[in-house]
Order: sequence, then structure tokens, then C-alpha cells
Amino acid sequence: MGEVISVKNLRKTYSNGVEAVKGINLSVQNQLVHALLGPNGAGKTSTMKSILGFIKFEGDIKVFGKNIDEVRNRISFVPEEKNFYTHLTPKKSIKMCKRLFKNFNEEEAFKLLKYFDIPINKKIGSFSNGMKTSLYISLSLAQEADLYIFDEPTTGLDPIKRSDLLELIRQKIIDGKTVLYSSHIIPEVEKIADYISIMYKGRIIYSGFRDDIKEKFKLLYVPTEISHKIGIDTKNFFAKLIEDEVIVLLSNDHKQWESLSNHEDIEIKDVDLEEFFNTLIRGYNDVF
Amino acid sequence: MFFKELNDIKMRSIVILLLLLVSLAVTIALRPYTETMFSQMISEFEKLPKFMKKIIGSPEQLTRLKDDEYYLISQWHGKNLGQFLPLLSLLIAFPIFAKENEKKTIYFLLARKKRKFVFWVKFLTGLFVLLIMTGGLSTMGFVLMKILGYSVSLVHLLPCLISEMVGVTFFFSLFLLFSIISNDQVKPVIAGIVILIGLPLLSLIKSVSFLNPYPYILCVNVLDKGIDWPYTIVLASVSLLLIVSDYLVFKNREF
Amino acid sequence: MWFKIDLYSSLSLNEQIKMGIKESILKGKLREGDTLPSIRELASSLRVNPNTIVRAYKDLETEGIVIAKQGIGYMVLKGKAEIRRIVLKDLEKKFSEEIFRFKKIGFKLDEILEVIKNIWEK
Repeated sequence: MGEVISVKNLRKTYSNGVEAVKGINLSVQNQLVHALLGPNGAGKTSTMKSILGFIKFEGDIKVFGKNIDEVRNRISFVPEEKNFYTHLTPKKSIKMCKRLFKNFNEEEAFKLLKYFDIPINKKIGSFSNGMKTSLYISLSLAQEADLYIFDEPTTGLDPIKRSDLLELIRQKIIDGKTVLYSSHIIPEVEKIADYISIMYKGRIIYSGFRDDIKEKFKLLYVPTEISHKIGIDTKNFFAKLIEDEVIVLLSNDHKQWESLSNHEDIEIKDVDLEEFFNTLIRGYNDVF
Repeated sequence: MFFKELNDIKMRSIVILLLLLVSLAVTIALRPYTETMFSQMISEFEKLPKFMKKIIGSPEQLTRLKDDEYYLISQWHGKNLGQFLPLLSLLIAFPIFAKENEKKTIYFLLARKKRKFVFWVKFLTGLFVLLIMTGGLSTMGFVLMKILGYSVSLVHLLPCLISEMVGVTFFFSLFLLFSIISNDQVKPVIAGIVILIGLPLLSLIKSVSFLNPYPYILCVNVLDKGIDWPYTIVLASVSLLLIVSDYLVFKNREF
Repeated sequence: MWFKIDLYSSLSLNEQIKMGIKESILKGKLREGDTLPSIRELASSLRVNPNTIVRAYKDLETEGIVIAKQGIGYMVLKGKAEIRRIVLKDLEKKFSEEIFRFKKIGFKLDEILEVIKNIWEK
């Protein structure tokens, strides 16, 4: 199937002048979890709203190679605000979804509601945040869609249900589906993502497989005086972050860290997602 | 989705329906009393204080009230039901889009269905309920009076019905526009009320008084002149224009 | 169950899967001529993306440990002895950076061996 979502040169400026997305490219491939990771205000929701056709934008977006309006029956979306119809009960909601969507699996919906401990005859208006989220997710996952789009799906969920949700998402991938997952929670992304696009201040500052971050990058901690002494050209590194007494360098070139590995004051470390993310984000201001 | 929309409208339509049925019952129940009351008033018209004469109008009008048909048209279609119809349209229309905009439940539908589909189901369900209620209540006035033995004929009911149906369609399409544009449920209500109060006031200015559709809906001239075809066609066309605008605004709106 | 995966490990999933297969061969769970678990089966068992398994299997094929056979799957080419050599080579590659650093700092081989001995005996 190849490319499920193709975003080219996406720009979005709101009527109040805020430039939420400053020209990004995104390519979501088939059968993987593509995470959009970034702090609040990075432009993730605007990106998703553009993909879903909720807002106007500049640029070119294709889903399954077509305009999104033509393929809506293959999509399931969980928004940031998981509000559902308050006077309905979960049971009535399932009935409604069954009538509305051809690909809705009623049996699966009841199974998921039970899995998440949702009372099926209680009015949704009385639900807590966690229950609302669980309900919305259950209805969305019960749809046999080809593409699932989640915007911060774990809000309000306790750790066990969060883990349950990630497990359900992984099963979708094993079943051959595709997921676009937006979050600002690093441990979650670390657990679920196959491919990560890091977004910050309207730009995508890194895109790559999660495995690659572990395999191809190393962090170098260089005390400031040493960096002057040796004369390290920090511009050659993938990213840099200048702290009080040390310069943190992110490198994906093994020649770089091999040449510096002999220095006893320079610490070379494997990279986890959190450190990778922090160095890129905080170092962003040093670079741009 | 039709059933879900129906469900949404259910609560308020049932409440309004009950209120109007009570109003209908009262209107018809008062008929015998009005006959004697007005007979008395006519005979003693000259004796009434000046301000009362002004309110009641002319003795000729009072005489007409003795006529059942006139009573039905003027009291039910022209007053108790008729004056409520624009408000009924507002009450049905205002939350159809605005509620989902406010509560952000609209995303569920918009993600999975084309805007064309979402618009037409919501619009048609609302209009359907409104027309059924209007048609039903309108006809019931005639039916009840007939059953109770009063002399009323279908001849005047039909034109009245048409005016009312076209009238509510006009108001519904207009108020729906406010519902589509707003991000909360309060604004469309306020805008609607402004229209409901403002339109009758237009009658005060002779040159633009034709813009006020109230007399048309209230079947004021039906007994004497029958249905006002030109006005019907114009109002229907304006409604059509409004419906197209509703669709286009919804289609291009950002959420 | 074949082996376990640690999502938070500093090793990538790819490396862990390859290691897991090699260890399975060393433990006798897989022998020369056996077929590797199907991609879907292993993905389901480990709860990882099937594409990750595919990449790992392809890497193993490049290393010469398995070979893809049409209609059958990935077949193990090497026996325990050869895998042992390969895994030891992996270990050498893994440690060389660290050991080299310690050497440059001035540690002696005996000291390093002592450390390893202590760890082994725990």
C-alpha cells in the first residue's frame, strides 16, 4: 500500500495571525504507528485538523492517494476533546454507530466497552473524563478502519487503561492497519511508536524510525573549556545544546564520536528518546 | 444518524407540542363563551370606555367573531398558534449545529462522513419535525372544531396551511444559519430573538413593511383574499436561497 | 514464547530481535534447517510491529545466519558452533569502545579481567 498520508509543504496561519504550522512535510507509511511528538502548542493538532479537512490550509495533503473526503469511510479519529452525545448511553451509541458506519463491528464494540469497564446503560453525560475517553476509544477502535488517527488519546486514563490502549493499538498494526498518534508524553511514544516526527514551534525538526534513534545517535557531553581547547566545530553536529558548564552534542556520525572518545573528560552516552527530544527542543533555539 | 438527530430534537419538540396542545384546547374550549361575551359587547359597545373601544376594534369585527370559521382563523391560526410559529422555528433550529459546535461532538461526524451528508441529515430532520408539528397542529384546530360540531370548512384551511409551512421553512432556514455560524448555543438564540422582535417592527415603516412575513403566516387575509401566491413564491425562493447559503457556509466553515 | 523484548532498553528492537533469534539457536530452540517463527506469529508474540520483524530477519539473512525460502519462510543456515562464534564477535564489537577507553585511561588488562570475574561469580 505504501504511503497512507502524504503531507507536502503544509502551512497554517490562523485568522488571528498565529502561524501554527510553518511548512512541514509528513509521510505516514502503511502498517506502522507514526507518532507526532511535541510539546503543547507545537502545531500537532493543527496538522491533524488539516489532514482531516477540518480547517483550511496551504499545501498538499493526500490520504490513500486521494482527497480525504473520498476516503472518510476508511478513517477513524479520536480528537483531543473526547466529548460524545451526553443524552445517549453506550448501548445506544453502538446502535447509532452501527447504522452510520458500514465498517462498524458491534460485537467488538461491546467487547471493548467491557474491557474498559464502561457501564453500557448509563447516560454519557454522567461519565468522568476517563470514562469518556474509554468510550470514545472503544467506539473508534470498533470501526474496522484502515487508518486510525489519535490526538492525545490517553487523557484521563489510569496507567492500566493507558497500557491496555497501547496494546490495542499495537494489535491494529499487527492486523495490517496504520496509526497516526499525536502526543506530548514521551514514555508513551517510546512504547508505541515505530516512526517518530518531532514537531516544535510549527516545524518538524526530526523524522525517523524510533530504532534509528537508539542505533545511530550518541550524546556527547563536552565541558565548555575543553570544547574551546580542542576546537570542536559544533555546527557539524546534528544538534547542540549549550548549558552552563557543558555543551551537549547530538551526533549521528560515528566518526565524530570515535575521534572524541579518547578524551577522558568527554562523556559519550547512548540516547534514549527523552534525552534526544530534550536536546533537540532546547537546543533548537541555539540553532535557529 | 437520522435517528440520533431525531433523538436530539425529541425533548424540546415534545415539550413545545404539549404546550401548544394545551393552547389549542383552551382556544377551542373558550369558543362558546366568546360567542356570548362578544354578543354582549356588541350590544353595549357604545357604553364601553374609550380605551376598550380602541382595543376591541369595530363592532363589525366583533360580529365576525360569531362566525366559527373566522374564530378558528383569527384565534388559532392568527394568534395562539400563528404567533408562536416563528418562535417554534427558532427553538427547533438553534441547537441543531450550535450544540455540536459548542460541545465539540461535531468532530465525530465530520471525520467520518462528508460535510454534504452531515448537513443534509441535520437540516432535513429538523425541517421534517418542524413541518410535521406545524402541519399537525394547524390541521388539529380544524379537526377538533369540526368534531365538536362547529361550522368550519376545509376551503380556508389549505391556504392557511401552505402559508404556515412556507413561513416556518423561511424562519427555520434563517435561524439555522445562526446555528451553523455560532460556536455556542446562546448567540443563535439572541440573534433569533432580535429577528423575531425586529421583523414585526418593520411594519411600522410603510416602505419596508412587506419584509415582515408575520401577516402572511398569521393568515390575516386568507378569509377575504385566499392565498397570497406572489408572496408565497417570493418567500419560498428566499427560503431556498437561505438553504443554499446554509449549506455553503457549513461546507466552508473551519472547525 | 520465544523471548522477551524490553521497549525501554538502550538496545533497539531490531538488535534485540536478532539477539533473541541467535540465543534461541544457542539454547537449542532452533536448529540448523529449522524455520524461524513466521513474521506474524513473532510480531504477535512479542507485540511489535511486523515490519520490525521483517527488518530483523532481513539483517539476519545479510549476516548469513538464515536464508529466505519461497513459500517456507526463513530457514536457519548455521549450527550452534557457528552462531557461538558470531555472538562472540558481536560481543567483541559491543565492548571494544568501552574497553579501549579504559585502556587509554591507563587500566591494565588484569584489572579489567578481575572486574569480569567478579561479575561472573555473582
